[in-house]
Amino acid sequence: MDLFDHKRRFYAGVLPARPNTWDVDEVFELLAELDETRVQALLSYVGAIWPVSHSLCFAYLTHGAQALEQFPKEMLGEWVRQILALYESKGLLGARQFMADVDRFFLGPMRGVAGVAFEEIASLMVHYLRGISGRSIQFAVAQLPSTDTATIFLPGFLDTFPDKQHNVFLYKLLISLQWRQVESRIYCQGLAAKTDVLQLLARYPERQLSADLFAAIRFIQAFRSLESELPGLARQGRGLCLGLIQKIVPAGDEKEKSGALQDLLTQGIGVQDPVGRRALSTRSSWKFLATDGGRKIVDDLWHGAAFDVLPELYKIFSGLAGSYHLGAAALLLGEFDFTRAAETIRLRREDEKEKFVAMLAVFLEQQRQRQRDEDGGGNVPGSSPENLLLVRQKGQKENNSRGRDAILLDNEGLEVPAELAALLKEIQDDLGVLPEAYVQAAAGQAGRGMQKKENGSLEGENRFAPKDGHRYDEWDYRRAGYRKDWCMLTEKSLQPVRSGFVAGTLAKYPGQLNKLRRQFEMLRSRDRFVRRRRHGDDIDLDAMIEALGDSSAGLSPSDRLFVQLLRDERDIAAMFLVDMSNSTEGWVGVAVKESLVLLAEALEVVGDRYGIYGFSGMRRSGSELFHIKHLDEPYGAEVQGRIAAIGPKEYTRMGPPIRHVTRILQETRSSVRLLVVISDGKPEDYDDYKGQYAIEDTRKALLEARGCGVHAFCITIDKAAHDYLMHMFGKGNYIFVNDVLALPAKMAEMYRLITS
Amino acid sequence: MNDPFVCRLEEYRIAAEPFFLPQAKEIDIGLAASANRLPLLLKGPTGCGKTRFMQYLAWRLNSPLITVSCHDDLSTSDLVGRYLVKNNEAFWQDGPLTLAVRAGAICYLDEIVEARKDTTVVIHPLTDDRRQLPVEKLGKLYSAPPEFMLAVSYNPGYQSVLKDLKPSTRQRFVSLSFDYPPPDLEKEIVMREGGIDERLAVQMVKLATMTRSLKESGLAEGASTRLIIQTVKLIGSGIDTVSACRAGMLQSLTDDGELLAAMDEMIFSLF
Ligand SMILES: Nc1ncnc2c1ncn2[C@@H]1O[C@H](COP(=O)(O)OP(=O)(O)OP(=O)(O)O)[C@@H](O)[C@H]1O
Ligand SMILES: [Mg+2]
Repeated sequence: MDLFDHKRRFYAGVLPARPNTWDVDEVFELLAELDETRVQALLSYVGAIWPVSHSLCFAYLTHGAQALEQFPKEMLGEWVRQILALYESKGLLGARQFMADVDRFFLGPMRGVAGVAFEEIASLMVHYLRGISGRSIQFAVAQLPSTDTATIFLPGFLDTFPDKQHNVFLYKLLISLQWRQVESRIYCQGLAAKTDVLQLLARYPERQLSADLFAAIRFIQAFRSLESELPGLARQGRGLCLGLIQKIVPAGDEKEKSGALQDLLTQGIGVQDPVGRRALSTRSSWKFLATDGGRKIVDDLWHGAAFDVLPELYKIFSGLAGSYHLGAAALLLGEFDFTRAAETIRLRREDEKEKFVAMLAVFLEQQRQRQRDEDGGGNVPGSSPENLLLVRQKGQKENNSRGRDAILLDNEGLEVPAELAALLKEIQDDLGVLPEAYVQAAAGQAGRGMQKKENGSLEGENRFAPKDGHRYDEWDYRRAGYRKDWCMLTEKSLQPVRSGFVAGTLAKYPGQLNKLRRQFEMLRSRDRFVRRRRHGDDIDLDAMIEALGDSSAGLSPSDRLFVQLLRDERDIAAMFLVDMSNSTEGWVGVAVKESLVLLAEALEVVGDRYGIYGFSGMRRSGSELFHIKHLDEPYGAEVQGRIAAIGPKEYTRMGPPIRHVTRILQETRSSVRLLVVISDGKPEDYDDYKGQYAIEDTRKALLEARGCGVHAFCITIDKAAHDYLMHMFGKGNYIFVNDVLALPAKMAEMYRLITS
Repeated sequence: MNDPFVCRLEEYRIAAEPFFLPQAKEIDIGLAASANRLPLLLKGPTGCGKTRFMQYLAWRLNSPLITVSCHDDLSTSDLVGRYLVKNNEAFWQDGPLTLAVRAGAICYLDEIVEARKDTTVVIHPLTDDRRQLPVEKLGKLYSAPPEFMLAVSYNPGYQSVLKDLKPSTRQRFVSLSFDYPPPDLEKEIVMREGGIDERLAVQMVKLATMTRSLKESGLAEGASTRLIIQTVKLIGSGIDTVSACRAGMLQSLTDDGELLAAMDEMIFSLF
């Protein structure tokens, strides 16, 4: 067969599509290099890939030509299988990456080599980082390690070392090093210095050298801080670092500079072995370490600011001959993107300011209210809490001994909520002092507070507002007041779908289900013996003895002498409110639905009353609540069909559905009322319901629920625990689940924990 | 009568100063509450020093400390007292609460939420300004002397919605909120109680702090001060650090494989 035949076969394979001949010609040019049998093999999978994606198919042919140089055509089937699987999970980009590096992604793992994808260990490392840092820092993939203080960037795949364990450990080390960079506040310093760090580094003629030396200094300092923070990691990591440092090679014949860099780093991580020493002393170019000046530099390295040490180090290095390639040592040095970090910090500070102002405003308003009540209306000027606050702070500048929070707390009668105090501390730690402007902004907001009430109209949206909707207020933190009847919520029902979803889920988790049934069995309203009853099934010996005692003492003994078998009723009504916004499309949605199936099975065992509703919607007039199961509706085919019908809709305005379901719960007669919200991230609507506004309204809605005696608990599915969660849901009132697959188990477990 | 009452009471008196490091003003507040005859509510996670604080306070006030661990089978008689028969003669035996009221001692009801609600109503008249304990069977109404103090504790972190303290109960108390001590303080405590050097104490506190950050990831509670001390004692008996941390601290926190693996990584990073 020749080229023409190949093309004909290709066109036949993709019928009825008629791909662009240019694209086809381009690809087939590459195939011309291959021998006949390989081309045949390659083309035999076109029929399978083309229907999935045309672009994927062209990419397959392009990379396939090269790939077949690297492995026998018998392995092609497996290669294609992995491509398709990746396409499904990671899209075209993921599949392309996979195809582009056959040795690393395909052959490597087949040989049983040691590479690790970050994905494999991500959920472990999320917990690890959360634990060591106590913060919520995210992960993202990038070529080289770096951080912007909110996210740590790491390579998606590491195969630096010949066994897997070491590569996993390398990830852990890199994460820990970047965490130290975050903690060092180097980026905040850069921001505070007000000099453009980039320009600072660019001043040096050899720009790359200055950047590398800067990174080297920062690495050494980070490693040093690990020695005190995580001594075990530093100890075990030292050898690994040494291995990487030795990967630095000279570019060309001159070895001076690369050798010096190796020595600096080796010395830097505190390797003191005689071999290292000798290496240092024999290198003529690096004698300065032995001099006083040299020692001082090294000493400064440990303790000084990286920016201060850099000039001198640069001077020395620029005088050395040769050049170097960092190789894998680049992983240790990482990258420093000051612009990106500055932007992140700016955004975070803005966020914190907003949050702080909102909370302080509410707090001040409450204080003012209280004072008004106490004063009987007469507001004495100068005695309002915010004045007090400002006066106290002025006085504070003289005796700098205590933080601002102490001042707040010292004010008698001003009991600052724990959350506000925590945020205050965070801001103080970050900025050194609480900016006056924050307090003033809050005082201003609180002042405007209650006077401004929104009127009831749904400006311009009225026409679309359904008549049978429910109106709800919405909390506007900026004015510390409610917008009256701001939102409209409509109840709808989901059309049940017939599918194998429920049966499939039950079949998928047999072990899990057994365990759940057993555990919930134990929660069940059970019979228990109640002592000291008038009538009963047996004699209560304790009571009997007591009665004997009483009668001997001349008292008339109690007639409550029996134990009785009584049913211990669990009187719980639980409402599950499920996020049906479009972001739940895909795995999240499936996992949520599966969780509901397992949960329903478990709840049927224990016999608690429960309802399930979904929510979504668009704009304040378009909040929608989808009925899946009413509180006392039996769990049967209808409900199962509606669970199966849950699917992604529009946006996430959390306030109205929470308020609505709270109202439903209030009307039920159960003694314990529970609201469980399942969502996958920040509340957000199409209009201005986003950011702090949305968080504050959601928080308020949950507080209202708690105020009505409803216990509100939230489960959020996310890659990491964000800081806003605690603020929004309240400490101890939520869990986050980063592994969707674990959701079904975790959700039932959580329900069990909070109701036992 | 060679008063058995007095003998028994002496057992509850705390002779030596208990080791207690305050985190904030809890000692002052505790003493002030006592001076003003107000009851105390101690809330905080398990093992953070609530019991130890009560012991210290009792020692400071030179009052006997009578502790009752509440459980769901605790009856009113268990608190107030009952008649018993001996040699065909009936005699009254005070329950711990009555004993404390009559003697002007401190009565500490540990984990009050575990008790059934109908049991705890007997404390209500004791917690307001009446400060009285009616003992129906004796037909007596004891008025508590100034030295008497009622203290209750509960752990808000258990998260069970079935076990919350009712506002009507809660608002009768002066509340002291306990939490795990800040690292420096906790280190001191661990060094003292565990008898170890500073370096190990710092590490152990760090490990516990790390586990406390995992609360939102599904860990019901992080490691308490008590668990640290327990672990340190294992180490003191020659168990290697890693095994001691696993057995003494981490395994007690969860069964979740992934969280355990992550905490293992923390141990290896620390030691
Ligand atoms: N502030 C402290 N000063 C001295 N020791 C402390 C302090 N806090 C905790 N400890 C130590 O921690 C141990 C546990 O504390 P304690 O028994 O008082 O906990 P608890 O709060 O009563 O816990 P639980 O709620 O489980 O009863 C004590 O035995 C003591 O060794
Ligand atoms: Mg205790």
